[in-house]
Amino acid sequence: MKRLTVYDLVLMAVLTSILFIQEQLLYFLPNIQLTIFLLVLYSKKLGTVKTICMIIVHVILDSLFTSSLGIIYTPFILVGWILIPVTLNTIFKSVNSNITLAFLGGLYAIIYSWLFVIPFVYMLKVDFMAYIITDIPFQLLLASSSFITILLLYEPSSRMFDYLHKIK
Amino acid sequence: MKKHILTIILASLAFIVMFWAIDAIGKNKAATSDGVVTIEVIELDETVITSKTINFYKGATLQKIIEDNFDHVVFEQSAYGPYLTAIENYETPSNYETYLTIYVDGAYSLVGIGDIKLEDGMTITIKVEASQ
Repeated sequence: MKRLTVYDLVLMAVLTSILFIQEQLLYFLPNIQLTIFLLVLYSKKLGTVKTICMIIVHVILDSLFTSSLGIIYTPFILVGWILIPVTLNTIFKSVNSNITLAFLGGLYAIIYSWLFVIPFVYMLKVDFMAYIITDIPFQLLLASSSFITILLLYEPSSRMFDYLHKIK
Repeated sequence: MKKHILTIILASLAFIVMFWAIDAIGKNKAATSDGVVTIEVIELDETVITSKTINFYKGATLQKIIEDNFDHVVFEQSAYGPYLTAIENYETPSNYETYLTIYVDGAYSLVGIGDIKLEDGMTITIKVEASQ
């Protein structure tokens, strides 16, 4: 990894703030958030390492804010989000179309939701079928909101990123 | 042009899925039939502050029933849904030395108050408990 410049650090701080604030602003809407869209955008534009750093800061802040920091949820949230920059910069490195990325966003939402089967079923002893059936509308909501936001916002945001990078 | 049409079709389909999911989540929390629920509020020393048996109708939610039938009710919103911080003469202190917990038919509720679906004959116990 190249040495981080002051510009990189400021940019990462601002983008992490946006990631954190949008979740708090949209908290009253169940599972409707821009998180997956933003993580896809950051992963494609800033790379794996910087995005993972932002994810770690975001998850710690968010968990402290919602009092959920701990072994039950935090590791699964981290794995779910870190999967995005890791896969987008390796196996899906050549994917740049907003339509394909939107489908991947839906897939990430489903994977993220299914990761919570582990703490709920194995640690909190919730019935597997009852959990899955109750969770389906929430999974679809996260998947569809991620799909729509990537489909409609990825290209203009990507262009804006490139423009900002050019005038740096 | 072709890509724009595909984008519009896919976005429209995703919006339909999104609205169906929002509708399904809303229905999950609302009562599917009429019934009666007993709601009791219990102090830290096990004193019953109040106990009411309330009739509810299809579509009712526990949060609305509590708001309509008890005094000084305060719900705060969190990322995990609404949570009750005050009811009758109890108010959660700012240091959370004591707080309100919810029991459904005597069992500690695994879901928040906004996710409890009303069913005929159920007993909801709102209990003041102390932090460890």
